[in-house]
Amino acid sequence: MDQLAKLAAFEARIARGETIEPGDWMPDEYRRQLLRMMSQHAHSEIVGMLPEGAWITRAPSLKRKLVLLAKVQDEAGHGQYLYDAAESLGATREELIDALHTGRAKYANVFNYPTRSWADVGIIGWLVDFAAILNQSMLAKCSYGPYARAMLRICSEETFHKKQGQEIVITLARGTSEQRAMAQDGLDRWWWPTLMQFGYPDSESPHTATLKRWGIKTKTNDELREIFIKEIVPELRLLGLEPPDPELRFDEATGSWRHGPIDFDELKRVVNGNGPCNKERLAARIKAHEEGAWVREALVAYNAKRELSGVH
Amino acid sequence: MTSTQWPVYQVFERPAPGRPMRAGGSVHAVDAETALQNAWAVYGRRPTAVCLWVVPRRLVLMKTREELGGLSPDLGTRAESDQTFCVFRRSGSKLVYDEGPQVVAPSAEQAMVRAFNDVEDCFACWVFPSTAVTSSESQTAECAFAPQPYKWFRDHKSFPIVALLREIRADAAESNHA
Repeated sequence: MDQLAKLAAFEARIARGETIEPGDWMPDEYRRQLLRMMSQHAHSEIVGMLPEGAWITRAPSLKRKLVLLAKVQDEAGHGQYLYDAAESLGATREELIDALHTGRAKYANVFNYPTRSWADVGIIGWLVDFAAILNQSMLAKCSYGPYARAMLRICSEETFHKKQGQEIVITLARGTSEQRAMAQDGLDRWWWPTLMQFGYPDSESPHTATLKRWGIKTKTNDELREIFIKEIVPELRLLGLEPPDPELRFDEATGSWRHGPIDFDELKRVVNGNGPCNKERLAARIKAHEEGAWVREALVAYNAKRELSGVH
Repeated sequence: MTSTQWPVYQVFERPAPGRPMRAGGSVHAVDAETALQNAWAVYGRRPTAVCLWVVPRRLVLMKTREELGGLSPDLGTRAESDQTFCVFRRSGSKLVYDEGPQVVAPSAEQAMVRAFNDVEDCFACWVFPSTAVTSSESQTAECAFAPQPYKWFRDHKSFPIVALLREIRADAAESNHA
């Protein structure tokens, strides 16, 4: 079969709703786009442990500390699921981690902002994880089996993160005036980065049409962003919290939400390594990797010794 | 710097007692024992897995229907004596690889063909010798983590958002009324 016939057969499979597995024929561009998305997604989970991890030692109660510990550990697991999916297309773990540590790999913009107060932990869990759920529940139906399976596992855990975050914000919103101010301040700082998390507007997303045709994405960045605003704004307002956007309003005529301009130059700066915490985040990852080297070396040495002595 | 590209172990999980195993994902580890520990840390925490297996990926034969092409049962006879193979299949509209009945065959390739032929709508299949499994239920495998079927942080009752929101809406309605 020539390439065109293979492509036609592949696209027919996608159109029938079949799921592609690693051994199946796929266009190079399908492989390349998936590898790009899965590796960025995996790195985002791993770097995403850092902003919230900073609050583990300062969580206000033992229960909240346990929940936060479990959440941060979940993110590590999500990274593991996604590296596994990326490896199914031939990437090696070392290449992936090396790309992150040398600054070649990209990851989600939101994790490059500082977590200044406990309210940030609630706002991230509620807003950032909800934004992630919208994207991930779409990807759980994507045409590539390993990615879809990773997403299914992740979505069920993220649902908890959203609830846990929302519960923190509800508690603050019903608390003292200082606590309410803390929640509003968190919202003020995280609102725009969360909207940016959905990516560039459709008019500047050259891959979207191809990704949709190949069943990788079923919704565009702008469509997901709209769903997010529609769901979250009424829930925030119910708590007396207001997103920092004077132009935000529901347009009765079109039945959709209007919002002020999103600073996509900021998104570009942050994704390309120049956000408030990019250097700190990468330094923390590299430090953890280097300081864990002795554990990896000890395991290898122990295993080699056992193989030599034939104990197995 | 030591290589971190350790061998890959496929992880299989039993979601509840009496249920068949299903494929979870994979971990990297120097040996099966640490693979099982890593698997518990990742695949046995939030999800309620009650049993995990790890299997070296190099021993898992993975094929899709497309790769196998026309299913020919005649793959030649192999010199090996019959072995028992575990079978995991993705069939129908299901996304996950589920455990199928074990197959006794002289080679993994023949086990694969039989596993494909057993069900009509099998898209992809994994087979491996049953001896390749290290199970958390084994008497000899050391495992630092016991299964934890109940986790309060994955209990929806621990985070009663719906009830809380109902309470807040009721309060708001009352103050509007007043």
